[in-house]
Amino acid sequence: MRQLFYYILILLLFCKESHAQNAIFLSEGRIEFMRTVNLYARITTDDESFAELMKKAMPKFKKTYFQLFFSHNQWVYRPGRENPENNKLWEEAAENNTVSSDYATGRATSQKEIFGELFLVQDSMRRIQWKLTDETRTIAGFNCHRANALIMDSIYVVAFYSDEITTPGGPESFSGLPGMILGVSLPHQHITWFADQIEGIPIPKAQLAPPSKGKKCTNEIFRKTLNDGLKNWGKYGRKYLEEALL
Amino acid sequence: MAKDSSLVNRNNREVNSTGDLENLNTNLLWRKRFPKKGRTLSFNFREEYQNNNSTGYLNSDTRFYIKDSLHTAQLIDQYKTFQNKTLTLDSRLAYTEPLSTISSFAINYGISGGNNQSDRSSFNKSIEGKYDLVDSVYSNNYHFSLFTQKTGLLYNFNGRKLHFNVGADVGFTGFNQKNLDNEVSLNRHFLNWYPQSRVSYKFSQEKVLSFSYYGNTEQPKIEQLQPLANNQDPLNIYTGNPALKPAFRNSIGLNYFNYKPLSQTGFFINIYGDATANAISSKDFVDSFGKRVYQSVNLNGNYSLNSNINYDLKLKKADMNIGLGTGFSANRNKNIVNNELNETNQKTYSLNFRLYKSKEKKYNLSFSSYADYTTSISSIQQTINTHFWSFVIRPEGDVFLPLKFQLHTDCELNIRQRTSVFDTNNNTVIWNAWVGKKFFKQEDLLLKIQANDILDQNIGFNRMVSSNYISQNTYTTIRRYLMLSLVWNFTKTGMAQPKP
Repeated sequence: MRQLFYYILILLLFCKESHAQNAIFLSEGRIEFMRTVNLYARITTDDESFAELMKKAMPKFKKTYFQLFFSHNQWVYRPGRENPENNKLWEEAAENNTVSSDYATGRATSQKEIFGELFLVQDSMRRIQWKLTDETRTIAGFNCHRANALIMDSIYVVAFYSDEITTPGGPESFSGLPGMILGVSLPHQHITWFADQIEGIPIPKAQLAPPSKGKKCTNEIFRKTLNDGLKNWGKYGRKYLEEALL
Repeated sequence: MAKDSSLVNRNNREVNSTGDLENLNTNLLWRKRFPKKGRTLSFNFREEYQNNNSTGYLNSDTRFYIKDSLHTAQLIDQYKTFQNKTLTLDSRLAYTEPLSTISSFAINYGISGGNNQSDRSSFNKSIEGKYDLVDSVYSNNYHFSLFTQKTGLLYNFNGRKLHFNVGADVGFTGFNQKNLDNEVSLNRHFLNWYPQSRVSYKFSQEKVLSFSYYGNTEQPKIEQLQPLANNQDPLNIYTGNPALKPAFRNSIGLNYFNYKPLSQTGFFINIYGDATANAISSKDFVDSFGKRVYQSVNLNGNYSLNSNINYDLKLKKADMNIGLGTGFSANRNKNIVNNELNETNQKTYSLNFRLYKSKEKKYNLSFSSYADYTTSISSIQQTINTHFWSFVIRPEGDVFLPLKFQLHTDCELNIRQRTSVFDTNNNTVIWNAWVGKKFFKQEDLLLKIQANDILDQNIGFNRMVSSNYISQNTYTTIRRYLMLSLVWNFTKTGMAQPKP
């Protein structure tokens, strides 16, 4: 019995080893993310009949595409192909963000459009206290591990990262895991990001250049500017602020 | 009154009527979506039925004067019955076919019809004291039915920045008018166009430029067609015109806004204009005693233009919002007075200034002021060029006190320049205030004691510059009063639609 147990254990280890040997390790390439927002779940009105009317006027999910280019310790996340179905929909906060991060220097540059005004936030990268779990799943053919975290004091984040991509990046400002984040879910905000295409291609340095247009500010000033402008906007304002600061 | 201010007429009348009104409306919408995204078929049906019955008495004593001395007297003592039945049916089938993810076209076909019957009778008193002598001048039974077939195309484009649609409907309308008193009927046919286009360019969600154009047909109403004189007001007698045609209005609008929510600054431009062909205008005949007989006629050349520009900004240090605006409007109205074509041109220039300051749960303060300069000139009375200034100043404030007490006050100052025609003082100050207390967590119950028109100056005033006349109406209104009220706000409206 004991022998059988060791036998199985060795077999298992061997399997894992062989799998790891067959895996592709990427340190340079391009990922396409699909950002999905559940619009129905995010309706702020308390008026049920009005909410029903709003539901009739829009689809349940709004899908936006982004691209992430990565090379070793640097990556940039920016708007990807257009989805014409969004032309008729209301624009939400900071939907067309470009975020470039450099793990070596610990700096990030985010370009965010807030009510038609362009902001360029230059600050250190967001530090996230991740809790790693044993849960796994496959995203776009890559094996991923689940990690959980709490950011901005109240936002619960579920992330799936793959150590088969060595760059410790991710969409928006989600990063800091031992591998590339290929899936993020904010269950209470009803927003998800999932990779749907990954390709290992050489990325020229120019493609990783941080954005340069916009009103320059730090995280703190950006938050304060938004807070001053949105303080009288009630529930919608709080939601908007939260989303803009992600 | 005549030009030399001598009295020309005086009228005393008593009108009473009782009536009942039946109303039945139906609306049906059926919609089918196909597996292909964006392909839809919809059918809309609307029905409106109205039956209006009333009876009443008109008792009128009108005296006409020449140089302040009585010339004639006209006495009317009539019993009147009125029945008006209207049935309108409207159906429309529309099909939308997507051409790509961002463009589509829609085709529609509709049939609509209307059946109207108006029966007005006036009876004079006979010697026995009964109202049984029909007065044929003021009595008529008339039937008007309208049948329209309408079809058209509309192309829709929804780009990321550019949105537009363009299309037109064409309608074939038939009128059947029948005088049920003498069985004379009149059939007429019209071709009506309904072109439309709307273009908008979205620089960003907060900066949009849009333009629209619509062409619309306005059908005459049975009251305007029925060949009958209405003496309800013996000094203003309306007679119908069975030859009235539909009017066609072209309207354009241009709209631009650039709003920055974070800095709370905004810039807004609105321009709207319309021109009407065959406008349903009025033909007046006023005799030397000031008695007016009028009817609706079709005239060309009426237009109106309305524009305004507003700029809003926020003073950060003072935490105060300021708004500045200016506007211009012009309109030309044609009508016929005593068989002479009259053209009235009116222009209004306006300025406004607004201030707003608030602190959550402490106070709301606002101040707004408006200045208007109006000129009006009519071609038949070019010597009278009316122009005057009018101002409105409106301060308003709320103070939120502890224990959910609230103090509110508002005031409206109206300053109107005296004109050569209206030379009395019409400036008023209307000051209202209330103090109240809100109850419950949602603050949806409000108990308040309110004082309206504290200075007792609500004089009831209305000055209207119209085609060929300027009327200033002063009337009695509810003036100063004190009121205790309990207000309950419902936050739930209606119920959720049933799931299909």
